[in-house]
Amino acid sequence: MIEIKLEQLSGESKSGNIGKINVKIGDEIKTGDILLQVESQKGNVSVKSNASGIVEKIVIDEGDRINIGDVLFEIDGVQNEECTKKTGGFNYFNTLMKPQKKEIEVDITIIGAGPGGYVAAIYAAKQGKKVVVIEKEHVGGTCLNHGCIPTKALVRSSEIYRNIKKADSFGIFAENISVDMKKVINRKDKIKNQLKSGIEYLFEKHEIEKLDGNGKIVDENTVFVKANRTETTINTKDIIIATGSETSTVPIKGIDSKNVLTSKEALNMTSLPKKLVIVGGGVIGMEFAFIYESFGVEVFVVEYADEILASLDEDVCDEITEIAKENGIKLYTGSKVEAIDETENGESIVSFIKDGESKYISCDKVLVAVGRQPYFEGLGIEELGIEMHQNKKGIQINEKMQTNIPNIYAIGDVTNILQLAHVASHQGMVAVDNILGKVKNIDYSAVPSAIFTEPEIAVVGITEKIAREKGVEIEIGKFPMSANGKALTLGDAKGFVKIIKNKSTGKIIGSTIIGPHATDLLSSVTLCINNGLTTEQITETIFAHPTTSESIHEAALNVEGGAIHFAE
Amino acid sequence: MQNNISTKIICSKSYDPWHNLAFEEYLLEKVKENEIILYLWQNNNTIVVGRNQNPWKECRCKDFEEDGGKIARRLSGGGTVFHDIGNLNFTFVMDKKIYDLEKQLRVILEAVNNLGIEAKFSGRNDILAGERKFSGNAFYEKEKSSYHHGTILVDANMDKLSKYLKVSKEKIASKGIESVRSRVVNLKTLKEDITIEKLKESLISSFFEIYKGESNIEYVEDKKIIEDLYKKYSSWGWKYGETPKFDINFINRFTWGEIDLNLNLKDGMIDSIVIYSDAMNSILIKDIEYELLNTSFKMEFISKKLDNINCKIDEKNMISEIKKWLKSKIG
Repeated sequence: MIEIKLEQLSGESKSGNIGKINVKIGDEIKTGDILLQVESQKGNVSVKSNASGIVEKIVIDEGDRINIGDVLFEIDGVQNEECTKKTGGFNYFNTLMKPQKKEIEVDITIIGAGPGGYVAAIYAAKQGKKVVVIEKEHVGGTCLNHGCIPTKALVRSSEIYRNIKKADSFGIFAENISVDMKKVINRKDKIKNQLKSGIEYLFEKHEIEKLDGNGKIVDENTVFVKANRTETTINTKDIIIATGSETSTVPIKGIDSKNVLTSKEALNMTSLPKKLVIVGGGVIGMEFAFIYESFGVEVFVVEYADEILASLDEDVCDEITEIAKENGIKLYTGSKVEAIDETENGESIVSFIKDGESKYISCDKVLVAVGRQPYFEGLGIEELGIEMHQNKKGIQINEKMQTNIPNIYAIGDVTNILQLAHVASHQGMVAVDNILGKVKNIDYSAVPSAIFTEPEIAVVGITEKIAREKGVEIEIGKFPMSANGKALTLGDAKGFVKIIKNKSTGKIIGSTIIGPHATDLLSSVTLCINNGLTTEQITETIFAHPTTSESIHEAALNVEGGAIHFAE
Repeated sequence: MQNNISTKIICSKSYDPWHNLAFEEYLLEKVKENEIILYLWQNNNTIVVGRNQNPWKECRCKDFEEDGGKIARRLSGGGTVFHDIGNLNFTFVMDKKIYDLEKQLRVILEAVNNLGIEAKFSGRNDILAGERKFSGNAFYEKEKSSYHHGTILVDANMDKLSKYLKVSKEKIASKGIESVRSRVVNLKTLKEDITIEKLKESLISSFFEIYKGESNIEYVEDKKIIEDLYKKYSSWGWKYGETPKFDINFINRFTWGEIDLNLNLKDGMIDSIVIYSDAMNSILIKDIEYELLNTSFKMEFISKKLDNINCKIDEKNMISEIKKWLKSKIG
């Protein structure tokens, strides 16, 4: 399989819009054939093929916005080496072009267009601020391009496959079902591209200027960007750093070997391995574990901590561990990976130590999912003296999102407080409010988080674990999904709702839900916590029947004297 | 850098946009190493859309063609422009190595400056006098050669320009590039003694001055060599068929009820179709949908297809009314 990428645009543009696509899936193409038109800043280029073969996949669509380096087509055929090299003429042309120097005046400069940066940009523009956003890759950031959204597209495909496999238990029969990973990935790309165009459209509507390139903060009122053929100096009143995070790696021998993938690469994997070892049993690792297990891959998870999803309460860990095992996912917790070795027949062997004993798993792919770390390369924060957390990981901010330089704000993963897209977005809005002179402090006490395992897990507020650490006196209300009518009809009656009540105030301060559509159920509990409702007030609320949300009501009842539909 | 750039000037004597654009593409193929050609040309009564644009969306193409106008599609990007003989087009065709936007623009800016007009280049690739645009620029590049071309409004018919460059009333959701409207001005309005001929002379002398070259002016009219290219530029497939996919919706109320026609077009063909109507029976709706699927978005074909439908007399009358209505909408 050969990928044809966008190698060149008109002038020095780095991104453009796709016009006419001249080929269809299944077409036979030759080197030099015109594949499509791409337009940037009134300059149009016809993209020619550097390969000959059959068009297997068209990754983009007419009207899409794309960047240099993006994959356009997948071709089953052979590549013409000469054509892939840029012509000498083009390079010469490059050096001849003097960069155009530009200076602009804005109110707010936002570095990074992920869920933190783009939300802050739109929010600020809506309130009349002149905003410029700097993005080196794609709008939507990690969340949209390599994280939340693409994984959920895969989760959905795997869920449908899982459902069809057990369709007979619903009285439905299907034969010869199978997975086409190419189509699964293609579907994911379409969703991603649609959302990306949506953000670009919103930028346009709100007259937010987007500069493609890396931003460098020169001083507290100046940001420098090299973008397209222009070097832009931005004179700005305020700056928001929203540069996000990058995949962490660990110093394991063989971590660079060819069968090792990061989550970013796994999201573009168009064929399924037979055996997959996932290093890391956190959120990313476990979501992938359930996806691939459902697709029929034999999955092994090797986790250093004693539990998978170790931040969760013990009862939740136990439940998901049991379900994972039932599904056939092999879990090795308390295990330290020592090496990933390549075998002579192109496979890999992961060796690790569990309980002082060396163990080995052979597999054809290894997915390393050991977390993400703040990204701020080339931003100039050391030169500016912007303070970091004590552990040097993440930019230090106050409750108003200010760094130690008052008009430079930082939001999202780069602050390394909570690596969640919705926290970044909220932090972005808090930063903008403070820039606008409204005094706003952030409150992290009711931050929801969602884990897309099967079943889903959703957590908001504090957990039992943290309550105990903090010495808060609590009462627990719990209700099993197996006693909920709607959950039974779904055929997914696993999991429970847990509600944590502060004994002295009577207020609900935390909740964990594990079960079907848990992440959707969580929002009502989040509203309760954020607004300081008591569990008694929840019991006095009417919940619709038949819905899984009744189990929230029942869990609240459980802490207020006993659930109706459950007896211990 | 030493000056080893060779220069050439070519003027077209044709006012036919398909010829002129075909010749422009021919020059792009033929331009030599280290050569820059200034090609000057004019089109009469023409609307030129950008490479990735939708003529149905950008202009009243049906009315314009009926009134004797020509629609053309160019290779470069950007928006839709109206040309008549009050407008002069320039193209710098060159070896890509010597592409220098600033230098090329200087040719234009100096030429108008010598005629007494102060002009500047805007960020949108327009050339402005004051705040008003008199020249739009666009670009196309190949592996080894590229061109930068533009319009210069000298004495164009502004009434026609605004009449035809009006977005159609139909709802169109298009995937291509959309034009951005600008306030435009004729150079003649700014300075009464400017003519196309004077501007041409001024462009030629500033071109030679800046590129330190000289040569005779070559005039071209008809060339056999560009026959194939001419065929391409004048074809329906190029003018309309190259439009990126789009959706178009037509609604009309007839005496017998309403019809709501939704088309999805790809390569200028009807790729999918959905009709809603409170008056027609569902079998007739299905028949119409079935007939029109995979038909070129061109009235002569649509008419033929609609004539194929077998139905009762009263339904025949409905279809003929629909045909009449569509005829007024589709070119």
